[in-house]
Amino acid sequence: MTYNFADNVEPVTDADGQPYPDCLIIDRPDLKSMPLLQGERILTVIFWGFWFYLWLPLVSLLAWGFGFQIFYKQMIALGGFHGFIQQLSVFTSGVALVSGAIALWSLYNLKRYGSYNRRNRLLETDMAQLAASFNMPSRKLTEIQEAGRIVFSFAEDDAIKDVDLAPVQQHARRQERAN
Amino acid sequence: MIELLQTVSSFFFQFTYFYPLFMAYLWMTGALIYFFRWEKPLGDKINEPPELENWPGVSILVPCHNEGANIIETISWLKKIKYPDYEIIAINDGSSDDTGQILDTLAGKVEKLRVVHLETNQGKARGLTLAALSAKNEFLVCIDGDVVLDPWAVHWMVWHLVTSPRVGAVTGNPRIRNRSTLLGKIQVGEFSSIIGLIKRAQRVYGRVFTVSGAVASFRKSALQQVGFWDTDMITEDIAISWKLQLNFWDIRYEPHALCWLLMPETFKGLWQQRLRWAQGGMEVFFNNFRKLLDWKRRRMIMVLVEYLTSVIWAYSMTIIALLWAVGQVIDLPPFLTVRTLLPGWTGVLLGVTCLIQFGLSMVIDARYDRNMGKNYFWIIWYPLAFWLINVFTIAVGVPKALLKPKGQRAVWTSPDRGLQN
Repeated sequence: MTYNFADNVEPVTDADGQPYPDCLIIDRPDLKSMPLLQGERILTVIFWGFWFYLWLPLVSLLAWGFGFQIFYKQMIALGGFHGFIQQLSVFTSGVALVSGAIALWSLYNLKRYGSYNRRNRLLETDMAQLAASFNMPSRKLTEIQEAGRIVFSFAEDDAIKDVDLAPVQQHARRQERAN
Repeated sequence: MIELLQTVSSFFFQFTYFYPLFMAYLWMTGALIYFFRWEKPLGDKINEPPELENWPGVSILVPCHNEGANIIETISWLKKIKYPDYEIIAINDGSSDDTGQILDTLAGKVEKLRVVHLETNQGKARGLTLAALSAKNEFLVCIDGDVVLDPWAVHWMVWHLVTSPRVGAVTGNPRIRNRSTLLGKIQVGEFSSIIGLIKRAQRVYGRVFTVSGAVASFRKSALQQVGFWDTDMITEDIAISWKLQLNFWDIRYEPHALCWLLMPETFKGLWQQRLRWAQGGMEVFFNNFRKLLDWKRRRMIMVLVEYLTSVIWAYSMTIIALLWAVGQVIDLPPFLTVRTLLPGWTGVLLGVTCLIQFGLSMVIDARYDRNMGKNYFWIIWYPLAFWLINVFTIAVGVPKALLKPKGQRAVWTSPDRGLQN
């Protein structure tokens, strides 16, 4: 698999040295059972059959080109072609309408909102307000944001009951000793 | 009277047949406008993001529930991120497997990793909220516990947040990893030819339906302003997207910000996932209905119309199938008679549209996923299947959303992640 990466940047690899992102793709047909493998093939062929079926009117047009007169009877003498012309006019008007609508809406968006900034400076989270919304003092919030390991426990009504904090290294050492 | 009924039913049938076709062209036109206006000017090199004088600190949040099988891989790829200043916060949301223990062990080895344990399963929305509370930085990147984030993805997303104060969130570009089965392969096609085109078109609308739950970045002050994630919405990603946009925050789509994810490879897994998406969309719609009527929030109108029309279409299609089935047994009045479900000439247009849609998505997406052509054989008919899946999931998901008790906490179960080894 080739991706568009700049050449002057060192490529990323996985632990086995396989280049990213090829190493991430899982395509293992060998993991599939035989019934699944065959079932998928049959299903796909059926859907392809349906897809080709959609082209039948066109196929019959081509067949006419090769001298099959039934097309003339069905499409011209019996008026089958009128149906197509009618559908085509609805189809093309519809496509033109939706494409025009999105193009116009895009222009409206650009003109109305393109340079309209309600917020013209970068906001910062209000820490005091944030702490208050979780019913905790600001100092506690600072401690939480500094901790490496945080354990939240909850009361029956799902409110935060307790917050247990520890630095990462301390907990890792404790765990190592326990092992 | 009969003539009026005939006209109404004729319009109804035409709408049902032509709606998927017109939507395909709407998305393609939107995607082309997006591509030439925003995507192409930023270049096609994934590892050459735009430059900034200073890259601010970022907290990468990784909510996990029973991710013992995947979390080591996710964290080890996060170590390879090229961003200059970041911390990783893994949230162990009441896992019943060994996720918590693995994370504690990893924290002793990975300097940037901090671990938040929730003693009981609180759901992804609450997990993310508590991780946002614990994060040191203003900019947050949220990824699922089973995805691999591209080493340059953080640069691409943060660039939007720094350069545009009105941007509240940026959604990335998820790509499928598991491609062993038919379901895996068709999702590769779906993420490009349907989801990729829709996301681009929605950026042209000015509003997006949802950020990706697997990879998105947020401005913490924007989240604080809207009250963080909703804990009672089954799809917290759709809910936060609408909350932010209804509070006048922009959401950008950044296709260069890649992440690699595992998707369901069984029908049951896929059905559950898509049903959840359909139900979640309707829950969010009900929750925000009043705000959507406000003229000041009119930029949401395209997303709203697109969504509601798709729901109406799904039920129209169901009604037509039922009328056809009933018509096989009893005689119906002429205006209710469905002679055939086969599309006739519309089929030719549908077949051509499938080809154009795949062709366009392959041209646009080649820079991110060049191997797509290999899956062409398996996926060419997929746009047809996409609409059928929509019919069934909306038909079942909408009543589920209507009947769900208000305020019920949404917690998660581990999804199917396909064949791996």
